[in-house]
Amino acid sequence: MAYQKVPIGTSNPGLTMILVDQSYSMRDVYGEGQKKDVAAMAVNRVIYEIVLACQSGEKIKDRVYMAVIGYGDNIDVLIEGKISEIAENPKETLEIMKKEPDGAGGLVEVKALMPVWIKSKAENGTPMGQAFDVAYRVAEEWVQKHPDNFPPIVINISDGEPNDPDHTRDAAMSLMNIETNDGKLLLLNAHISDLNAGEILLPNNNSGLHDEYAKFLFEISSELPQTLIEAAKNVGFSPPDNARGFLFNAGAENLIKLLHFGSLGTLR
Amino acid sequence: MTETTIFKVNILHSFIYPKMGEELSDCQDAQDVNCALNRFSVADGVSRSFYPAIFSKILTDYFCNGDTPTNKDLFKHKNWHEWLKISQNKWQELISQKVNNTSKYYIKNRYYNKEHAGATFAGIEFFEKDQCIYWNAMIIGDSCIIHFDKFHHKTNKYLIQNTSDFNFTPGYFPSLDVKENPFQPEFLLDMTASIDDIFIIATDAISKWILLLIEQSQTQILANIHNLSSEIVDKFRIDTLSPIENDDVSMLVLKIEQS
Repeated sequence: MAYQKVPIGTSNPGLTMILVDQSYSMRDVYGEGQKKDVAAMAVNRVIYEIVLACQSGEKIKDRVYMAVIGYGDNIDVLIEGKISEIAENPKETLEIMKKEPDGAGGLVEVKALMPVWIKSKAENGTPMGQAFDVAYRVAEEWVQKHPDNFPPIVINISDGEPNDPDHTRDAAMSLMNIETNDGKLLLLNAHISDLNAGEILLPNNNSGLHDEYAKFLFEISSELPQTLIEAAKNVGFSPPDNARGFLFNAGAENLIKLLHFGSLGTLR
Repeated sequence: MTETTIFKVNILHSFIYPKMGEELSDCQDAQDVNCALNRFSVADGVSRSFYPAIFSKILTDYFCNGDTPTNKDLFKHKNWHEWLKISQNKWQELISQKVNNTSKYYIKNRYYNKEHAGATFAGIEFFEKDQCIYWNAMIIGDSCIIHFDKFHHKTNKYLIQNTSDFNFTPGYFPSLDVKENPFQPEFLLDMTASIDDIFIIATDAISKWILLLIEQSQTQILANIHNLSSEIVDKFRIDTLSPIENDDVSMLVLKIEQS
């Protein structure tokens, strides 16, 4: 039976990879900012949450390997490595004051340190297929070294159609065919939009998808194993049986939820 | 806690083992023993809380070895608030040092947020009075004490009675003086024991498994519980009939013997 090697731990680590669209259209307004800023914030936040999930005392346990790949004017491997190394090397750590409940009905300002690994960026086109090619290289190398572990999870965040749909389809299919002895690589796609309409969340068939691009993304999104179905429910989704890891026209809140359950759902 | 003349406590087995996929150094459970004082304890640090392994170690160590009137008179006065405060202060002191000596944002943030550790706990002391053997215990959460008479005819379970009573929100000692903490320990006082009785003190995963074995009348496995090994735990973690849940485990098997 596939997808049994959970919870992921130090002796059977996992690989989580996030692909971020950094094309020009990511400058569009999204929620209270631009898509590029929301995407960078969401990715930084989920990396921080993974760090916390792997923390034991002062130590960050290497339960996960991570890679973040940005695609726009270039294909950039923004981070890659063990979570312990990533945790120690944010690009910068911002000191902020945030408001927290004071326990008596009011709010109190609390100092907090905010690590930043990914800076927002939006230039040029959408070379999604080439980003899948790079993800293939990273995942394939990792699988060679960890053939019995839970398979890699790849989360792709994008707001638009790829430059080369045919190559993108082929590259995605190749990526989804990478496997360990515990199952095939899981590819999750989050198509983000500020339309506030037509949001499609974790569907299990494409009959309600009238958009050709939505059908394409459905096709290149993996069916979620039970572990991730449960994790998706825990963050507030209501996935049907055989749901795919796919959001279409997703708002910022649902993007963050997908990143959360996709990255943390196998850690517990 | 006076010197005993009619019995001694033999530690048949002390066992600690991490959850599947983790190293022993990652284990949040702790245990300690003091055969001179006949005190024995286990604790289970709440995973994802802040430095739980340190707190569970402080609790078990202080219960077994703490040379203070508060600890010595714990069962006499049931002064658990005062008793806990000493362990909380120790934890706070250690954590403050760690935070001051680190630049790690993920540690400092949790400290700024006043996060704390939590740990379930079971501690037992044996003593004699008028040529009889007695024991006292303090338990909070789902760490358990299971008392078998020498023929395994009678089994007493403390505090949890059935496997269905385990849940994901057990009581625990917090490592900070949390005002809204709703939990408090239970005391078992002047309980009786006999020569050749067996006591198991264990954190939740093994406690639940032992209760399951009792419910299933798996007497053969129970009779060999003092031989529990990492191989056996690994085997039962994937057993479908009598599974051990995938969690850190800590267990002491004690036998009352004639001195």
